[in-house]
Formats: sequence, structure tokens, C-alpha cells
Amino acid sequence: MLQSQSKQKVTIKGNKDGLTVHLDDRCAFEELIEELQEKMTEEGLPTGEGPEIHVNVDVGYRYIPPEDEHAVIQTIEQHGRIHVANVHSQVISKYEAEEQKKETEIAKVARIVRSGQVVHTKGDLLLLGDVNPGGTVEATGSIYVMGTLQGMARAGIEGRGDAYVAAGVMNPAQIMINESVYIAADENVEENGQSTNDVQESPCYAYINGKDIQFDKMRGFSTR
Amino acid sequence: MVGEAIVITSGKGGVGKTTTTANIGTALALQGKHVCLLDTDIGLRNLDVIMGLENRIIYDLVDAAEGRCKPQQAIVKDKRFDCLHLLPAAQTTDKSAVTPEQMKSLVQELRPHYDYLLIDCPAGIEQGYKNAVAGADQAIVVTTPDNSAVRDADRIIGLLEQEDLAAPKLIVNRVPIVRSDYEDALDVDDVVSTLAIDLLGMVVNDENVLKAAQQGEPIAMNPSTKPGLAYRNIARRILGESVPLMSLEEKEGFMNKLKRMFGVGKTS
Repeated sequence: MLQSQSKQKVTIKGNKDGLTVHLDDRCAFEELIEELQEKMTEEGLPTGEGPEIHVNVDVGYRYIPPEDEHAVIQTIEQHGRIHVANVHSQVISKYEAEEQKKETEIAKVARIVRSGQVVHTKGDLLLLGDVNPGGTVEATGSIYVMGTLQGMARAGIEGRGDAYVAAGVMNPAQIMINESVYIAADENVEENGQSTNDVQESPCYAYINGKDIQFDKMRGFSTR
Repeated sequence: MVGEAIVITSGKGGVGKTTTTANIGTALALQGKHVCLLDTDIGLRNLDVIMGLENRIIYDLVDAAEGRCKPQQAIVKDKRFDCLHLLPAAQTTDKSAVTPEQMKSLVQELRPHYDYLLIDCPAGIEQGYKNAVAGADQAIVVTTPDNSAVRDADRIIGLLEQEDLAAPKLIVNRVPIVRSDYEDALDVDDVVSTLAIDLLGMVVNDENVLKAAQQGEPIAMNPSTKPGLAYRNIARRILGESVPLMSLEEKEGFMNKLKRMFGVGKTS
């Protein structure tokens, strides 16, 4: 009886991606850890020297906070050769869900970003207005400036290399996408502020090409 | 009367805030308005010098703010106009001598006695600026057509937008009319489109402004000079008169006229 119950809580299955440890999502977490502990110290598991075994953990519809996740990983990894590749859950917290939503949303801002001001958003930023010299716009995603971009734009600030910066009139002092930086040539910045050769009067966007930032006309824009 | 308090500011120093304050004040007084000029540049006052009133100062703004005298006692009457008064800044202390709250109540106390209170703001964005803005209902931003002044004006407009004020108005000062200077300056159109606020007027670069300031007689007294006329027009616009402008075309017309005048002068 006891034996059959424990089999329901922790099951290990093999598929084409390797081993998956399924954890029952209805029982108490303590019971689960207990079971897991038993399974891991059971006889018959590969021992001694050999390649590392990667396993996935599937907790089903159980919400698993970071400390519980850590406990599960530790219990499994106490066996020297087993490594947990990832812990998969069907459930996330409301906070995480909202953060994820922000990541994929477009924040709309209608104002002029003036010298000394910083506009920071999660996800993409759609700015209806200008970024004046000395002003800064930042987003974890892409940035679209409908007016003139003369200040600084930082897109993909949390590491998204596929982010881009688009502007109606492109005359930035600096553009940063992820880790790549474009700095306007000196004559661009100082000479009357406007009307130097590098200024893109027609809508234009900047993206990472290799390691450098490259500019391209909006015509013929295609999602790469 | 419920006076309107207008702060005149720029961020950057040396663009002509004090000159502008003195001249708009004079021009408003010429229209028969009761005007009080408040100098908040404590420690570095010179509005009194430009007005030619430095010898008459007994008490100052700090005395009035701290209650050592009544505001009315600190006020200095102008030589030329009975309706033009000056509340001078203190010269012996610095900007931290007054708090924004004190400024606010000082402005409130003076408000009933005047049509307009013009507050001359010191350069910078620190205490002095905060004091000057505290009591104001409206702001005029002064800039010159060069990059650093425009940059600072942009910063100041950003700060003013956070205050509880009406949308600030712009005066572009020292607009060059000599063609050789023209090359180095920014186009007024570009300045206005960058700052994106209403243009109240522009004043051409003219050595007579400096000369007049030296003599303690604001240039607005002399309508035969271009800056004098410009200040009078600005005053009339503040009064709500329809000396057109506000629209770019009018300004363009004015500029072209000046250019033409210069062109004619050169060829003849």
C-alpha cells in the first residue's frame, strides 16, 4: 500500500529529451521531498564514475517558489552524477505574470523628453514626441520615437539583442542596444545641432548587426 | 487687483534674464500697469543697477521675507514711473537665506497691490531657482540662439513642467542681425521647434541694450531702437493685446524684414 502511494508521488520517466522526474501536484510538499529523498538513495541508481545525467523536473500544476525549487534540486543533485537541467511548472505567480505582461507590452508615452529627463519602461516604448539633446529613453524591449531623436536611446537594457530603435528623424547622441553602443561623430553633435550629413531625415531604425549598431531606412524593413 | 506673478528664468547665466525683467517691467509700466520687480538673485543682485536704483535701497527681499520690515517698506520706487516698483535682493547673504515658503507668502502679500509681479530668477537650478519659482503663476524662459543656452532652457522647461504653473513662454534673446554673426547662431525656428513652447517674442542683438543698461535706463524707454520696440511688443502680448506673433509665420516675417533692412543698408 505504502509502496504504491509513493510511486504516485514521484515518477521517473524517460523520453527522447532524457529523464523527466514527475512530481505529484496534489500532495503536501514535505511528503514529496520525503519521497524524493527515498528515491534518490534507493539501490539501483547508477553510481561511481561516468558521464553526468541531466534530468528535467516537472512539478505539474504546483506553484513552486524559489526556495522550494532549490530544495527539490538539492534533493535530486545529492546524487553526485545527476544534474537538474530545469524545473518546469504549469503555474506562475500573479507578480511574475504581470512582469511577463509588461515585457511584451508597448508602453505609450506622449511628451517631450527634455534635457536631464529619463523615461524608463519595461517592454517596448512608443514615444509620441521628441527626445531632445540630453534627454534619455530606456526600455527592456525596442524603442519607437515618433518625433526627432536627438538625445540618448537605450533599448534591450536587460539583455535583448534583438531590440531596435526607430525614429522619425534620427539624430541621436548615443544609441545603446544591449551591449552595443553607437556614439555620434563629433561634427554631428556640435555643428548647429542639425543638418549634417549623417542625420536621417526619413524614418529610420537602428539594430545590432554582429557587434555594431547599424542604421537602415524604414523602407524595406523586415523582421529579421 | 490680483497681480499675476511671472518668473523669468533661463537655467544658463548671462542670457539676459535681468535685462529682460527690467525691460518688460518698464514696458508694462509704460502701458500704465502697476508692476513690481522682484530680484531673487540674492548675493549677486543687479536688477537695481540696471534700473539705476541702487542708491535708494534701504531694506531688501530677505528683510521682508524674514519680517524685519514690511514688504512695502523694502520696495523702491522707480525714478521714471510711479507705478513701477522694485523689491531688491539682499547683497550681504546668499540664496539659502530665503525658503520657497517665505517667497510664496511674500508674493501673496504683494499680489493685491500690483497688476504684474516680475520675478527675476538667478541662474542655475538650485535653491535660488526653487525660491523664484515658488510664488509664480507663469514662467517666461529666456534663451539665446546657441546650443548651450538652448540645452539649459530645455532642462528648465522640463523642471517647470513639474511645477504648478501655466505653460511657459519663450523669449529668444540676442538674435543676430549682422550676417557674419548669423552663421554661428542657431535658427530661431529650430530653437522654437526643439523647445516646443510658445514664442512670446525675440529681441535682436544690439549694443544699445548694453549701453542703456550701463546708464541705468532700460532700452524699452527708447522705442526707436529695435530691442526697445521688441520689449514693448512683448509687454503688449503679455497684456493679451493682439500684436500678432505666437505663430511662426509672423516671426518669420519679422526676421525677413530685419534681414531685408540689413540687406538694403548694406547695398545703399
